Amino acid sequence: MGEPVKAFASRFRRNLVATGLLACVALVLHAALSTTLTNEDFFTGWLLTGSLGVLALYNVRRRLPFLPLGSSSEWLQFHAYVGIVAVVLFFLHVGFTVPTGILDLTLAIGFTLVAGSGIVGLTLARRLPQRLARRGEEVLYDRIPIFRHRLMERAEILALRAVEETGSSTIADNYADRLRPFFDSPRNFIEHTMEVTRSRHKLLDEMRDLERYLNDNEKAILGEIADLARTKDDLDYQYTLQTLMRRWQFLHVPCTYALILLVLLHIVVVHAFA
Amino acid sequence: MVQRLQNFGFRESPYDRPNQNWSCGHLADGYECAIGPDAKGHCQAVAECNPARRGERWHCTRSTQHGGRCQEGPGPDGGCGRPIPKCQPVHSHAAKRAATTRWGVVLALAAILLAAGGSWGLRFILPGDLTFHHGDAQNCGDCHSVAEHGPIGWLSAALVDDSSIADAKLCLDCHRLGANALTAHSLPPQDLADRQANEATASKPALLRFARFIVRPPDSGEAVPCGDCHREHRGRKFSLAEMDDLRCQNCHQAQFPSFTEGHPDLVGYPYRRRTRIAFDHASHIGKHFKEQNDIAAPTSCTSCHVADPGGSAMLVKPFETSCSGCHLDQILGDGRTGPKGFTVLTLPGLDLQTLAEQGRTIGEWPRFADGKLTPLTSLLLARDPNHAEDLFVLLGLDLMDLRGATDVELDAVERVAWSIKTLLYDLTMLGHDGFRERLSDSLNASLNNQQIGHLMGTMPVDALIMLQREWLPNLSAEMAAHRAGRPLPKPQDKAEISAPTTPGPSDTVIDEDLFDDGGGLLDDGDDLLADDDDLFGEGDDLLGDDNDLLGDDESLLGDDDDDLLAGEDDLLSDDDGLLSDDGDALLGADDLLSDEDGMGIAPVDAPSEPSSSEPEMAPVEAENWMRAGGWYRQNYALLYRPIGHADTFLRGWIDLTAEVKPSPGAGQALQIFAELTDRRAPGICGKCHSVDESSDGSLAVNWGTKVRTAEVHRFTRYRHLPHFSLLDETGCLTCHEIDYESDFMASYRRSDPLDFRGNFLPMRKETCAECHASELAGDACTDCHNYHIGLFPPPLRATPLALEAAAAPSENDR
Repeated sequence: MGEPVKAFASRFRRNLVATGLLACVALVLHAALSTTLTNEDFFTGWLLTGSLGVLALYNVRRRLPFLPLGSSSEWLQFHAYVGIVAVVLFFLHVGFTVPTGILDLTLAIGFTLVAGSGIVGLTLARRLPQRLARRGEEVLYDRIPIFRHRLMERAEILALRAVEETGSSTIADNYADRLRPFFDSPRNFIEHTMEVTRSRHKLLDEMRDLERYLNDNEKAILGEIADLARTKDDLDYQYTLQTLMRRWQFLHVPCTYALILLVLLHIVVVHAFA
Repeated sequence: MVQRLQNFGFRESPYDRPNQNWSCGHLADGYECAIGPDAKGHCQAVAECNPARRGERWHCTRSTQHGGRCQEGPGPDGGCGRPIPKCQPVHSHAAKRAATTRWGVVLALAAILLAAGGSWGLRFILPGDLTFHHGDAQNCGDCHSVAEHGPIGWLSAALVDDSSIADAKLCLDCHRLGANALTAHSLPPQDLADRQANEATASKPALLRFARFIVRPPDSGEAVPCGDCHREHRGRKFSLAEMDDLRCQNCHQAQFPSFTEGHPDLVGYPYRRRTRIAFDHASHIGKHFKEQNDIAAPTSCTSCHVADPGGSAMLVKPFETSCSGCHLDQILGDGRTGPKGFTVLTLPGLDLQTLAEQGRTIGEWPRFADGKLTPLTSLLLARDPNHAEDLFVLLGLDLMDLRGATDVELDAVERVAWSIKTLLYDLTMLGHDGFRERLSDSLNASLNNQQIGHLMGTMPVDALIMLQREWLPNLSAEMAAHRAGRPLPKPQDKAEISAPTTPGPSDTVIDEDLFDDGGGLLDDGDDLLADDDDLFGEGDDLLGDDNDLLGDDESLLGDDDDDLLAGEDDLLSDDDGLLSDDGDALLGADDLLSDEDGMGIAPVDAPSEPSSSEPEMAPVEAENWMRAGGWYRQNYALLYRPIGHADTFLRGWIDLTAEVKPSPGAGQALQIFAELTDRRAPGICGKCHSVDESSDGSLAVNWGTKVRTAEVHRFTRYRHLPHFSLLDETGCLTCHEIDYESDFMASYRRSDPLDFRGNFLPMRKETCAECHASELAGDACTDCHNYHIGLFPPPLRATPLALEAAAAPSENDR
């Protein structure tokens, strides 16, 4: 286990140094061109355009998994580091100011959204898998509704069994009033994102408070329902984090394509009017 | 203990296809069918399985994942007994992401299409606000040549054309930067190539070396579009003229880190040429000012210098303030040895006896004329075809002794004499027009009335008439006979009298005198006092018998007391009359028609005939009489004495003769220019006003000090005013240190203004660097240097006058 961590750290340092060197080369070239009559904005602009093209290739690579072009993981790393260089180039290109033209401002906002969502996505991709591994069962995202529904069915069965076996409706009433909405849909999205368990504990505490009104048989059934509630909460946790890991792409990918189109317009305009 | 939610065995878990666009609508309900929707999102579910027939029986084929074989089993017809209710398939996660992407692209395309069409589109692509200087630009086409071409044109321009030069020319519609506006420093390429770089005193910055390695700087003749340096659309307050110091140096041979570190020394700055006014600060401050006792000599620099209204240049105060105290009298000629005036016209002295012996006929000629032909007289004769040749023939010949002269030389003398007479006659008869015609022909120049006025020094017509009457009184008749080829009129005997000590008509060899029978003023012919139809004739004339100015009855010359020529108290009476002999009369000795200088001309040195009454005091000489300047005669010469500083006559002739085109009188013009600009010439113009010779050989007199205008852009600019408060008691000498060792005035003996040794020591860079460092007053290149060099008039648009609108009556008028 220790060797892969060392390998990751070594690779991270190596890639970070390479990225820093690339950024420094861009900075020096920009500074040198700033002393000439050549418009350095064209230099950084074309470099930035090239970077965007390279970054967009990652999506192409994902659609062509059968080609021997390296692993997706390597492509993702390359994508991330080129993205960092692109951010440096962007700031050089805009001169560390906020553009005032509508198109230029749109471009800047677009790039900020793409880069920002990319950074968020990269952060989520680095952090959330550890959290996912720590809590709950790892399940396929697309199957979570099925599992949630099964848990609800089992909880309902237990609630009905309690009525049949004890003749008391205490558990059934509690299920109908309090637990059914909990099992019916994903819950506590924000709390799971923030790694907060207050609602989970509150729910379980309420069930524990109910025990004083139950006999032993009912207590056993309530205990099973509580286990299902914990599982459901863990499933919600999985759902929340996996949703986060997917939803950032809803900003990143569309903005990338829109940005590429606007960049093409920008290139035509600046070369025509330069 | 809760069992695992998901099992990954192929029997326990279905094969998910997350890349498909549609998912089963029952998925959200916790179960999904095994079939799933088709590619277009249609539910395909009918039953939980598709029973298989084995032999005669149908068997359930429901998979283990979905519960295995059902208890009911298929029906006898092979139909599944567990039908699945139809669902509404939903988009998969991947499909939703793809849809979002498509919407993003559509929005971007919509924005681009908006940009491509209409005026709003141009606003969309506008990269930012213009500077406030250009804030009134109405449309993009004002500055961008492709703006009107539309999107296709933009694409073409972006891919194929380079519009930067075309756009730069649009800039020049307003910013007039001369013929070389787009070349480096707006200078002619050769001009820039000829310049020598001053040595930098530090090594080149590494960044500049690297920049030159990766990008070749433009050649000196290569066009540099405006946009290379002036980046627009960066906000209203952006400085278009702001320029990075290193970028300034990109093309330069001498490259250095900063002003304090490596900037070349200020070689000769700010003294690029000798001053236009020849003024030796060293001798004046070190000697002349100290010697002045009766005149308030300057005591500080500000006695003579003052800052201009903008505070940029230090101007020299006017002559009247700075110089006249000592130099005005010198200009007027006081204390001067030799003539105080400039000799304009002379009758050269001729050997009249030899000419007569050799049968040369030149008519009357003053016997005692002893002058030489002046350049100005010769210039006025230069249009004569033979004049140049005659001058060549007469070169070295003594005109006062022609005994050994050849026939050719005598012919030349005769022609020159008649040329001079013709000149005098033409000037007398034709006045300014005759002068203009001769001068224009001689110099191939077109002269306007103002120039003629200056060149004739506002000479009164009477001055010339009196000069002719005194020197050549029979000129009119002689010229008539000479031009008609008739024998010249015989001179009158009275002209043979010996000459007086002071030249006058009496010393003239006269053929026909003023009062003789010929064409003179008072002769019997068709002249002023003739008998018939003339001033003194009998008809209806000035001196006629009836009702005339000099008639018998109530006329100007009537016998009655109150007439002009009456016996007493009349205009032509004997006593105090117009024709009286007394001193104050019109025809008296010192009067309008007297033999001596009259009609506003200076009085002669002495009358030709002694007056009946001796004057109380002897009159001063004409030259001294005209102390304040003007025209006077002296020894058969007409001279002009300067009126004062900036005399228009002298300046007019100097300016005229400074720039002469190839012409018959070019040589004489050069002689005149040399005479007048000599530092000892009358008026002493050349003492202070230096003469520059340009590269084409033309000469120019510097009448004033350097004139700075906003239109002139030089490499280096400096404002005196902000620096005044920084000076200590050393004052101006902090920067302008007098070089007492320099022979500054020696440079004015040469015509090249750049060939000089300054009156001051060159400024030292260290003096400037005391304040001009990056952390103090700043040391940017553009603090002291201009990029565009030359004469650039301001972009003033011609305003058409609404003449028609002004002429049309308004509604109210109607």
